[in-house]
Parts: sequence; structure tokens; C-alpha cells
Amino acid sequence: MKRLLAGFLAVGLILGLSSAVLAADRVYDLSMFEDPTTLNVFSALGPNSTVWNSQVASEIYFPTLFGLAAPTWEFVPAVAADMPSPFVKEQVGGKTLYTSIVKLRKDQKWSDGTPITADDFVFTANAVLEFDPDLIGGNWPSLYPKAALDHVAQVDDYTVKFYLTKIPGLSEWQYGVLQAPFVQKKFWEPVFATARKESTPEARVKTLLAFEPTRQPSGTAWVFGAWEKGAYYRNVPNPYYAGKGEVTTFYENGVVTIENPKSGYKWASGKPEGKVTLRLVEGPYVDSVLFRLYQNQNAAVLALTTGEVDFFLNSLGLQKGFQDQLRRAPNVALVENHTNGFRFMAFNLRKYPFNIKEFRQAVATLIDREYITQTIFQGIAFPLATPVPPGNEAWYNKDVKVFGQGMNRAQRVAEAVRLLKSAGFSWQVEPQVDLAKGTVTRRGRGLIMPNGKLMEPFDFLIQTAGYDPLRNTFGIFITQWMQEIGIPVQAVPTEFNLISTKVFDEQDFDAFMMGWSLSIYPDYLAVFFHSNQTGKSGFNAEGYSNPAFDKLADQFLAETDLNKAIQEAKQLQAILADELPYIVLFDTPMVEAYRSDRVQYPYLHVLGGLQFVKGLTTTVQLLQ
Amino acid sequence: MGRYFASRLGQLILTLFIYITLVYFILQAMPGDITQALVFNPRIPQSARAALQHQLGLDAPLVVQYFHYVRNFFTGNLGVSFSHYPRPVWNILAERIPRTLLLFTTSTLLSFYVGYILGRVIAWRRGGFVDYGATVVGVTFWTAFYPLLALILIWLFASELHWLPLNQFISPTLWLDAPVTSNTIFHYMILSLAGAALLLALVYALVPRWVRRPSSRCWVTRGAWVVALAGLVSGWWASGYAALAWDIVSHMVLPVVTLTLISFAGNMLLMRDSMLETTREDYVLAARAKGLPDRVVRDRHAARTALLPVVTSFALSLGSVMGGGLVTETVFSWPGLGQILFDAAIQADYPLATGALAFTGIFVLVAHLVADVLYAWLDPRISVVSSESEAST
Amino acid sequence: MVQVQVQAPLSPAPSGAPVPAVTEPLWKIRWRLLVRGFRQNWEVFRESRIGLIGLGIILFFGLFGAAWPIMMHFVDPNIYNPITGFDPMSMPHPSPPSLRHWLGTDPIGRDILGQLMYSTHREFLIGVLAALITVVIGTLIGTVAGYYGGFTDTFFMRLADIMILFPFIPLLIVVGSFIRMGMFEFAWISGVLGGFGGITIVLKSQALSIKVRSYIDAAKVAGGSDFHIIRAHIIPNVMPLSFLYMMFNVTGTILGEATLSYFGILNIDMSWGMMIHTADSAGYLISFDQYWWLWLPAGLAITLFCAAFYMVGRGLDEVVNPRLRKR
Repeated sequence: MKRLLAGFLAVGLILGLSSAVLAADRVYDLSMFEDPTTLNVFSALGPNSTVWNSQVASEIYFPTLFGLAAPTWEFVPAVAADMPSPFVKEQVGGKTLYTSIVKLRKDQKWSDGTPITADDFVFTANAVLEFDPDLIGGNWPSLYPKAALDHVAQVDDYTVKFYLTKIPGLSEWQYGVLQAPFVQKKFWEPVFATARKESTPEARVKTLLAFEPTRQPSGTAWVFGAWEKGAYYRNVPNPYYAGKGEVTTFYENGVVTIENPKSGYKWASGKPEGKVTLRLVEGPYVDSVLFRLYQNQNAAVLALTTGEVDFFLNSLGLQKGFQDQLRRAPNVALVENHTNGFRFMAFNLRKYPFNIKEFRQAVATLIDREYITQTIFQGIAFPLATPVPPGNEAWYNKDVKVFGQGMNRAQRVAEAVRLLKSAGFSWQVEPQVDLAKGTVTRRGRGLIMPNGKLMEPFDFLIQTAGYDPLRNTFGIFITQWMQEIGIPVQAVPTEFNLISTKVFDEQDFDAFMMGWSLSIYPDYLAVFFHSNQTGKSGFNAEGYSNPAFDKLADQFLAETDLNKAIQEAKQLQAILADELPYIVLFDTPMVEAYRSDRVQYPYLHVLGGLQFVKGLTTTVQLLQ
Repeated sequence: MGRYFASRLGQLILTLFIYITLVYFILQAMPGDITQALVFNPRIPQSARAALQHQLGLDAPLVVQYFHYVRNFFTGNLGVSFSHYPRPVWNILAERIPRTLLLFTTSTLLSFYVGYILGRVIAWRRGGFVDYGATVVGVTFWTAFYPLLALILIWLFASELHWLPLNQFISPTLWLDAPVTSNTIFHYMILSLAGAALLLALVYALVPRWVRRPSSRCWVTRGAWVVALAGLVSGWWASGYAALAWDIVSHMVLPVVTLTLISFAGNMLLMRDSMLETTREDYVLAARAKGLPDRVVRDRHAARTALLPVVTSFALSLGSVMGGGLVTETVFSWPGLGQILFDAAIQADYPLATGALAFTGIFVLVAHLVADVLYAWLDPRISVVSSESEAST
Repeated sequence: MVQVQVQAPLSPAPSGAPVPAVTEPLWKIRWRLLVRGFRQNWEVFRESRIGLIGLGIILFFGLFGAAWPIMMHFVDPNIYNPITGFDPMSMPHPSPPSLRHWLGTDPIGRDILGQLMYSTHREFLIGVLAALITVVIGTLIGTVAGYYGGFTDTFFMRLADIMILFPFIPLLIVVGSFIRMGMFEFAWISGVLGGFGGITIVLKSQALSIKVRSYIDAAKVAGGSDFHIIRAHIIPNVMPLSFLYMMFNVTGTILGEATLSYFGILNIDMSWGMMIHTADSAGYLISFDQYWWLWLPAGLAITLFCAAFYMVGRGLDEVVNPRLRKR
């Protein structure tokens, strides 16, 4: 017994003494919740497209021709020197193709010191097309869209010529191949050569994906440093990074200019006017970026309070409890941003009476988003009625119709009853309200459908309280409101895996609740609701089918003019807000925390928060 | 001994076989069966689906699939993970196993030892304050809500007092420029501990034969402990990796202590009851009557026999200890087998979940075998040792 | 290694003892014997301070849970409903204990005391249901295996060997993330899994020790069928031991439920584990000195409840196993 105690004491003492940490200079410490799964970019943007692969490893090492300049998300050249030339119709080998030329910058280098040339891009594009982007899976089909891209050729070392089968839409061109990452030919050519030896296309892709590069040349600011699975991941600066010192200036009129004092490269998106809103000088200013792995948020938050990490990457943002406690912590600052996502409910529109528009409108009228988000959730969520969140300003349609906006409970019930009656619904016991007092005086019972039959009870699949307390609570409230007017619905809390199987794989459901996180360019407006996605495992699991919508959606996807695309996106949102294939409910703001005594960011407000811009590793400055 | 061991090993393999079968059919019985999960898993490129289906024999009837699976399992082909596609499941597990092995072995042995010592003491002072106090404290920890207890300990020792490192299993800053990976150190740690344990086991087995006088026996065994510990310390010191190993040890303290806290009471209470029974045995009374000191009677005579049922129950409780291990790994960010099992289950990664579950079972089975052999060695009634080397004193 | 302690003889059997001069109906005699048996056992049980404390705690929880439906008559369900309740008057949530909410509110404004009380009867239900299933299966298999021996015996004992080693929590986590596992599903899955486990080994040894008694032979000679002998003689004699194991099983089940709830695996609207999960997923479990009302009541309830059943089990152990008694 005594020996035991003495032993514990000794261990405790030694541990206490040895807790001194080695001092390392200028390390930007971040936390992550999961290991990256691969360093192979084809896998990382393919079947293994996880958040961590894109924020920590693989994906960040690869250059693109163009990019979006955060925080305004202006489309700007990256490796390219200027915008692509206008399309020219050409006859190539008996085919009519449209060509466009992109000039590359001459100052960009890989981390082994060799220049980034047109050859690298041409190699990547043609190799991906050869291996079939659909087979590689993930993001590759949209990055190198084979429906539009015939092939790519090299004109000279710094000029790429695209051969396209049609004039591509924004989603295929500016938001597709022009932003596709590419790899170094020298390093990857042998890999593709090995994969090519396999007999079937499937086996070739598998060999390609199974390749695990540890040290590979990078074309961006960061190079792989070290990785201990389950513990940490480190990136170190690319010694040949040409972007260091490059100045990106944002002007009041939305114009972005890029200047590189070292190589003299200059570019502007237009004529700058007004004040400078932001001036970014590219770093990196730190010696390394260290991602420490904490497998749960509690640990990561504690690490932030103790100063072990400077910022923590968390695609979900901080929960309310963490916010409350971090607000009181010394030297920790909180920042709130819009999220690019939404949570919604949907009915199975293949079934009667869910396919009746007025039914969905009545349900939407009953849902008091403001009450739940502002009162029950106390502002940790905000109401949303269209799939594009307000944070994505350019594409957001703030004028969509919101059913029941500003009404009290009695008014909502009265309006829902009116809508249902107008579609031919009736009740055995009709709900009654007292509009003067604003109360519901009699609950509805026995809803009779327009075809004269009594509506059968149906299930509403909601998330379990364990998986997402917010959606669970929201779902229970919606269910109660529907029951109040006699809609025979039952909330069934269901495991996430099970909902996704039932809804997307089997399409065997009546109503469900779910959430999406989104891209900047809202092509999801078309993809989620287009009737060509109604097949099993398609995105349109709710089975919405509207030829007029499809036509506009196709037009939107094929649109080549940004301003027209924005107008079409807004029209699509207006249709969706009226037809309600999704009843969009709410989303949560992105709240993040960082050590204000350690780091200084060039800007704090950006759609999706600092995690969405990967923790600003190249522009962050350390204070100590 | 050899034959006994062999027969136990045979039983183990049979049990393992049945276990694998059970795991297989339980997962088969899940809705949206494996075939579908595989075909519709958006992470698997279309290309690989057909190949994977074929490789796993998913186009064949269930029985054929089952034989496929068993054959694959015993030839080390556990399939390809969905969430780490196309990394083989085996590859992922191999990386995790040493970490779990070290944590699991250390905490189980410690909790057993603590339970044994405390049980011995409180049985001897039955009905006294120590008895009640230890029982209440033990039962409280035994029935404590484990994840909560773990979180409280983390908060107290890592966040408030700063005595111990916070979560993780190594300190990144220390390892950044280390010439080896943590798994190498884990392997060496396991090997060196096993070596020390083997040395001690040998000494304990041979001492009764060679040394006749009890007091010199005592010195020999104590010497063996000193040699083993000194060997461990100096060996690690000489290797130059002592700091790294120490880093792992310091990260292990909190999870090991937590695991020990929740599980020592079971062993302690059983040891107490078992002691109460043996103290009434004639030979104990005789020893007392001879006027031997209390401590000697307790430790040499009563405790030795009382240990047997405790070892039995200990071996039987290994399954639930493993369950506790899973919770530990998840709460303490210890990237072992349990933690990957949890992740795989959440991400619907059937092959990885099956593999991890199977290996959790193997773990328990092997630990069970070890406890079994230990039991046979301790128990004079099972005659697996040659007759002249009497094990009872 | 099926080396389990064979338990010593038990409390008196309700039947089988010769009764002179039968003047009363048989059921009355049986009843009286039963009452007497209980009384004797109670006397022994009363000696065990730990067992009594445990029983007291269980009684307390019983009353606590029973008070819930009564309490709901006196309060506004819109505020105090444990799942959909919300109190707009005591913002911001989670609010510390006050007169309106004796144990405060949770992160989305629900009354903690209400949740605690509401969960109590579910914990009883889950724990007792699972334990009952385990004991029924275990007793049946144990007695049948002990009585018949042979292949039945070997089969169930080997099965039990495996079930003992099964890492249940990992298995349930895997199962629970694929199927809808609510309160009842959890109770019966863990009950059945437990029923084929270690309990059968212990009960079989017990049944075996009874099978060789002389009155069993007497019953056989008198022409009693196997079914009758098992039902009337063997099962009543293994019952106390079964009951003992039931107590220990409740502890295991409740801890399992809480652990799975904590990980968000179990599909259950409210339980003690769920309360801790709610606090944890909303981010309130990092500084334990603030927001103590979010974890302490539920954590304490789990520990006390489980400890109570465990302690009653310990008390019963002294009844069932006379060698542990003080002399």
C-alpha cells in the first residue's frame, strides 16, 4: 500500500518536472480533429475528399491557373498571367472545337526549384481525361469536365491552349477547369506510367489512387514537413515560392489588383476606384504550420485556453457552450461569420399528397423559424428561407417569398388552413383560431385529402438528439405545429447513416430533415432540384420535377456571363421558394476563436469563417 | 505445460473462428446490407465498385461470401477501407495495435495489482473503517459514469493544475525532429517491457527450485525487480530515445489512472471476499497458531490461494475492460484500435469496423489465454507443472 | 477455463419439505413458507449495512421517478416538459439553479430537475427489463444445461465462453450506428447478449449441485417429469442466485446505456446519459466548476443508481453465499 503510494508520488513528481516544452520559433499552431487520409491529390480530391485533406495536406500543395480571392471571392489569375482569350471556333481533325488560350506567369516555381510550366498543366489535364474523371470520382468530373473539355495542348512553355467541344458554362469553365489543381509532370509521369500498365481502366485508377507520395514537389507556399499519424502534421515554407511578398489590393468598387514587387508581375480586374478596402501582403511569415490532432472539441478548446494552439480549424464552428466559456478566457478572441450552408426539410414529392404545392406551402407557413432560432436557440442559429445563404452576397436572393413571415401562431394556422382548403383539403374537425387573441382554440383532426380519402399517418425522419440537438428540436417543433392543424405526422429520430440510406439510396421515405454545406458558386441550385438527378443515389432525392425549372437550371449551368448567371440564380431561388421542394429552415453562424495575444490576421470577416480560408496560413502574423 | 498451452491455443483458435463468424453475421444482419453500402458509397469511385464487389465476392450467395470472408480473414486480407480508400484495413489496424496494446496491458495489470493489494488489506481489517471506506470509494468509481470521470480528470490535472499533458498521445514539439516514428518507440517499449516481465517470470518460476531459504528467496526476487527496472531505465537511456519514451509514458498516465480507477474495485472486492474465505481454511489457522507474524500469514499463506478466483474473474472481465478501453481512447484522443472502431462505425465504413471489431476480439482472446496460463501456473490443483516443482507454499 | 466457484446451499426451498398433518390448502402452506423464507433472508440481508443503503437509494429513486407524473399536474408543461419545454422567463440558458428551476436549465432552456425525474423511470425500465431478460434466459439455459448435461451443456457453455469475451460496448456502438437503437431495442439486445453469457455458467453449476440432491431423486422415483422437476425443484433453488445476478446486471446495463447515449449512438429522447451528452455537445463540459448543474445531477444519479443496485447485490451475496457471513 505504502509502496504503491510512494510510486504514484514519484511518477507525479517526475512528470511535473519534465513538462518543460521545447521552444520552437515562429510556429503557427492549429488544431485539427482528424488526420488527413492521403497525400495523393487524386485521392484527396477524389474518393477521399475530407475537410482535413483540403485544409491540412495534399490539396493545398497544388497550384491552379485561376483562383478566388478571399474575402471577396473575386475570380483572379493564380498561375495564369491574365484572363483566358475569347473562344475561337476551329476545325481540328474533322471536329468543330472552341479554343481559348491562357498565358502563364513566368515567375512561378515548384518547390524543387523548377519552373511551373504549361507542360505541367497539359500533362495533368490530359492524363485525367485519359484515366476518365468519372472513374477517379469525387471532384474530378467537375474539375476536368469531359463533356466540355476535349483536350489541352501546349503552345509554348508558358501558354496553354484549351480545346472545348462547346462554349462551356461558368460551372465548367471559370468554376471548373480554370480552377482545377495540377501536378508536376516530372514527379507524376512515372506514377501514371505504372498505372497505365494495368489492364482495365478500373485497375488503372485504383493503382493511381493507391500511390502514396510522401515527399512531392509543391507549387504553393507550403511543402510537406512531417506527419505523425494520430498526433500532428507539419507544413514548412516552399523555398521557391514566388508569391512571397506579392500584394493583393481590394478596392471599394470591387476591383482587385495583384502586384509582385520581385518579379514585376501586375494584374488588375478593372479600373480601381474609391478607397482601398484591404491590402494583403503574401507571406508566409511563420517558419512552420503545425496542426495538432485533438480528437474531440473539448480537448481542442482547452488547448486554445492554455495557449497550446493559436487557432482551431473546425468546419462546424464553436458550439454555444464553448463560446460562453471562451468569451471569458484571457487572450482569446471570438469572431463570427456567415456559414455557407443550410438545413432544410423535404417531402417525398413522388407521393400524394406531398406533391401538392399548397400542402408544402401550408407546412412552410406553419414553421416559425424566427421563434425557434431567436427564442429557443437564443441566436445560435439564424432563419433561412432560400438555399443560398446571405453570406454568399452576390448570389443570395433576399427578396424570395417567405410563407408566414411576421405572422403569429393564429395567423399562421389560419393561413395554412386557407392554403390547404384552396387545394381541396378538408377536415373531420377543422382547426379554429382566435385571431384577436392570437391563439389556436381548436386543434384540427382527420385531414381529408382532395381525393376524398383520409390522410394516413406518415413518418418525418429527423436527426437524433444525440447526432444534432438543434435539428432534433427543430424537427419536434415542426411536427407539433403540423399535428396542431391535423396533419397526421410522427417525428422519428433516426441515425444519420440510416436517413441517408433511406433518402438517397432507397428513396423510401415520406419526409426528412438534413443539411448541406455548399460551394461559393451555387451550381447546387440546379443539381439538387434538376429532374435528371431523381434517380437512386442522385441529389434530387425528394423527386422534384418541373420542366420550366429544368430549362432555367440548364440555362444557368451553361451561362457564360457572370451577371446573367447571377440573375438566373436569383430566379431559380424565387421558383424554389414558391414550389418548396426543400423547405429551407435555418443555419448556424460560424463562430471561431483564436489567440489574440499570439496571432494577427489581415482580415477576420469572410464567408465560412477563417476555417474556410484554411486558417490564413500565408498571411497570418505572429505577435511574439 | 507445453501440451496444456497447445490445447488452450487450439481452443483459442476455435473460439476466434466462432467470434469472427458472429461478427460477420451480425454485420450482415444490418439493414441496407454491405453490398448496398458498398455500391452506393459516394466515396468509392464507380470504377472500383465492381472490382471491390468481385474481390469481396459480394456477387456470390451468402454462404459462399462467408467462406470467402473467413478465408480472407485468416490469410490477412481484411479488405479495403471505405473512409481511407484504397488503403487496406490491415494497414490501418497495424498502425493502431501497438498503441492499444501498451495502454490496455499497462492499465489492466495496474488495476489488477491495485485491486489485489487493497483487497488483501481490507479483508484483513474486515468491518473496520478501512474496509468500509475502501468499499464505498471503490464502488463509487466502479459505477462512476466513465466518460464524465475521464473528462473531469482531464480538466483537473491537465487544464487546471497543468500537471499532465493535455490529451493526444505525444507532444508534437518534441517529436518534430525525432529520427523515428512513435510506432517504433511503441514497439520497443512493448518489447522491453515484455523482456523485463519475462525475466521476472523466470526468476519467480526458478527461485523456489534453486533457493531453499525463504529469506534469501525474498532477496533474490527483490534483486530481480531491481535488475529488471535498472535494465529498463539504462537500456532506454543508452538508446538515446529515453525522452521520447518518457513523453509517451507521461501521456499515458491520465488514461491509465482513469482506467485503473474504474476497474480496480472489481478486483479489490473479489479479493476481499476470496481472502475472507481462505482465512478460515485450516492451513491459515495453523500458520497463525504457529505464531507467524500477521503479515506473513496474510501475504504468504492466505493471499496466494485467495488470488485464484480473482485471476479467473479477471480473465473473464477482459471483454468489458476492452469496452472501457474504447471509451478511454475516444475521450483521451488516444489513436488506437477502439478509436478507429468508433470512427469507422460512425462513417459506415463496414470493412474497417469489422476488422477493428475482430481485432478487439483477438486482443481479448489473447489476453484471456495469457491469464489462463498464468492461472494454471498459480493453481496447485491444476497439474501442468511437473510434480517436484511445487507451486504452493 | 470454466472454473467458477460453486455456490453453497441456499435458502430453504418453497416446496419439498415434508409437512405433517395437512389441514390447510397447499397454497397457503407454500405462501407461509415463502414468507418465512423471505423473512429469514431479510434478517440476514439486514445485517449487511451496504445492502440496506443500496435498497434505500433504490427506494428513493423509485419515489423520485413516481413523483414525476404527479408533479406535472402542478406545473406548466410548456415550460417543464423535459423534451420540448422552454422557459422564456429565465434567460439566458443554461440558467443556474433558481426558484423556478431548482437544478437550473439545460442549453436549450429545459428544466434539469424535470429531465432527471423523467429519466428515472426509463432507467428503471431499461435496467430491470434488460436484467430480467438476461436472468430469464440465463436461468432457463443454466438449469436445462445443468439438468440434461451432454451436448446441450457443452454447446451453451462454449457459447457462454465466447459471450463473456465479447466486447459489448464496441459491438453495440457498431450496431447502434447502423440500426435504429432506441430504449427498448437497447434493453433487449443487451439483455439477450447478457443472457447467453457468464450467468449461464454460474447458474449451471448451481443447478448441477441441486440435481444431485436426494429429493430430486425422490421426485424422479415418484414419477415427476423432467419439466416438473426443473420447474418445481431446480428453478426455485437457483432463483436467489439469479436474483443476485439481476442486481449486478442492472448496473452494467445502465452504465452501457449512459455510455452509448453519451456518444450519441442511442436513439433516445431523454436519459441521464443524454443529459450529459446534451451538455457536452453544446460545449459545456470543459470547465467543470462553472455550469456544474449540467453534469453533476445526471452524473451523480447514474453513479448512485448503479451503485445502489451493486450494493444490494453485495448484500444479497451475503444471503446467498453463507461463507461470507459474519460469525
